[in-house]
Amino acid sequence: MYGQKRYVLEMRASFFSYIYGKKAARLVSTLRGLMLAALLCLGGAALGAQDFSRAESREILERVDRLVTYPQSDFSAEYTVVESRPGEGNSRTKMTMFRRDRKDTYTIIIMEPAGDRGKGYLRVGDKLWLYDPVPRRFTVISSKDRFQNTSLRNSDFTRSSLAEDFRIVARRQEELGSYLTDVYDLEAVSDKVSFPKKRIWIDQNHLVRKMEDYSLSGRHMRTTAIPDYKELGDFYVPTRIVIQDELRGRRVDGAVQHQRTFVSVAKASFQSLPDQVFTRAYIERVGD
Amino acid sequence: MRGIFFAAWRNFVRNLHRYRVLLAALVIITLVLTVVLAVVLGLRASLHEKASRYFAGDAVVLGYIGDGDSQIDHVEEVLAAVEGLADGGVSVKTRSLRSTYYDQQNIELFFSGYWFKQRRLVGVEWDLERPVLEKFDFVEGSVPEEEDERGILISTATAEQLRVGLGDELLVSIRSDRGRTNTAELIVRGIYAESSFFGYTPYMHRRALNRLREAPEDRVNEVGVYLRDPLATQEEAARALAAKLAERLPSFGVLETREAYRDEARRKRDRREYGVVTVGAQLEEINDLLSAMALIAGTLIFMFLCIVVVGVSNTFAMIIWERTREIGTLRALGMGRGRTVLSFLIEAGILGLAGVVLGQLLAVGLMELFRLLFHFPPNFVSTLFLTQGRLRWILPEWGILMIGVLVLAASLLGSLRSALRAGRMRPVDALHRQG
Repeated sequence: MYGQKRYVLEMRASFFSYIYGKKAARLVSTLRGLMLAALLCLGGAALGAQDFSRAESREILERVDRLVTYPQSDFSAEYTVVESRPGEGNSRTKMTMFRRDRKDTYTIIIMEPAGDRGKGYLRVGDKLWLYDPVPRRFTVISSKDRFQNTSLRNSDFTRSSLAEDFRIVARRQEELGSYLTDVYDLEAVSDKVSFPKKRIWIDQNHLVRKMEDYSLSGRHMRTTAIPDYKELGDFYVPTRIVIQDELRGRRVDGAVQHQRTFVSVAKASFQSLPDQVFTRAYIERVGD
Repeated sequence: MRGIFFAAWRNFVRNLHRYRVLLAALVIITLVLTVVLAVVLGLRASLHEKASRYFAGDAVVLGYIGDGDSQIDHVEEVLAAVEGLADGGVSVKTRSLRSTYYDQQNIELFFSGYWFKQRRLVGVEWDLERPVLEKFDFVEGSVPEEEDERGILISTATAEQLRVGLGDELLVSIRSDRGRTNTAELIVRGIYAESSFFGYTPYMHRRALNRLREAPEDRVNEVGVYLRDPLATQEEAARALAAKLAERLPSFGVLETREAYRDEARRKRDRREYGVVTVGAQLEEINDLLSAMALIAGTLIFMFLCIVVVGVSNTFAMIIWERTREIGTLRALGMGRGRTVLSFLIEAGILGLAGVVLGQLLAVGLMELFRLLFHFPPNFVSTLFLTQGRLRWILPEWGILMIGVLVLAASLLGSLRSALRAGRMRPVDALHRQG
């Protein structure tokens, strides 16, 4: 039987190759070989790990959050989510997202597929509802739950809150394809987050280019790549996101393939939205 | 009196050719009654055994404070109450100390990319529950050794979805008690045949589950008692256990229904209170279904018995008609009316008894043959009601006796009218009749 660890490493290499080119894949492969040596060299210290105060953590992560958080204006965009399940084909979900970061709220209306059309998500503060137009009922769901059974989590649509939710525990520099990145290991300071540990790759413009999510016991659960951003004024909108589920996949024709989620964002706008968009009544009206 | 029994027996044997059809009918009715009763009791016992393993015992101590989850804060006191059961004459097979985790959305097992959701995780002490866990219908492997905290038992339904085999390492992912995603890598030590809803439950070591949940390692959520004769003694044991608990701890008594179970779990309290729930209460809906099945079967059998009474009555009428001259001779030789009636009733009794004995022997033989020859592959129904894929039947003494009395009564009732008519015959009329 194929070893689970080897399987994960192979998939990781092919994922990099897909997103950032073959050079990156070779880099991962080399890193794999160096892993043992690195661990022997007093781990964190040899990798450039250092102690970060809470204030330093906040400062670095706030810089990252600021670029993709829009407190002055509302945000709307059209999201297309393609879920690729090896051996099962692709499923496509199209939706409209309305976000108001200053109130920590969002509304999502599903447009496609036809079977889910009219479903809506409303987040207000810590509360999240899912509206199903068939029974015409709202149910309370968790922001940690999977979004439409994809690799996305409901919390992935909120404003970026790395500074509030995490602290940096280690840092090093690394080349990621053509990007020179700072790699930060993060630990959650709040239980609200979907994953208690994270590793993020930040480019020289303070944009997150890659993210790895880990369970509490350190199991790699998910890898996210954000190859494209669109600059809108002082802010950036991620326009292409690829998420690889490190645990879900299939062996197809002898090779292991992971479940992946491709998100593309179009028609991004900062035009202000009416207050009623962020109400249950609005979702009900649209859904019916 | 012995003479009349002997005469009735001789008449029965001599007229056996006349009784053949009637005897066959009584054998069939006895066979049907016996099979229905034994199979329903077997299915019930099989279901109960699975349920008690799933729910931590035949009688389970729960501790509620109002958040919906059971937790035992006073383990020593609860165990002392359990020990006290034996003093009250309740025969205990073993007990359980479990950590249980319910979450239909967030328990996921992964292996090599394949994944499967589970309903609950059960944390056990392997040695403590070994006598019960060994009753699993293991397709591969067995119960892990006591200190094996990396072992996990999964069902065939789960193993098939994950394409996992014995000795493979799978990943368990849950949301911990603090709501954080946590994982553990566990090795499959056993795969048990189960495709019903009892199959979506992996069993692991209690300490391993508590670590995964971010709970203290020695946390206990339920203390259960497995009884030697659960179907007969579970309610008595639950009452006795609740009484013992009440002597030591604040108690809410015995939960009789699922509604009570749900309500008590959510009722807000100032301090943790303890109570007992039986498997019977947890399985209320399924027990109702089985009772409904038994009721339908009972009604059909009652109708069948009525038909048998009418059949016996008609056949006996014919037999009396055919034996009129014989009755006349016996009456002329001095046999009284009462003795004539009694003689025919004893014949009917012998007929009924023969039907009961033959029918029950045939039923037992058929059921045992069926059990030995037929092994059903695991599917929802077979694993829910069968034991290790085979039909389980139970025929208690009261069942044998009850069926005997019913069939015998049907035979006697059916023959009563004809026997009375035989007793009323005048010898001269009987001897005069041609036939």
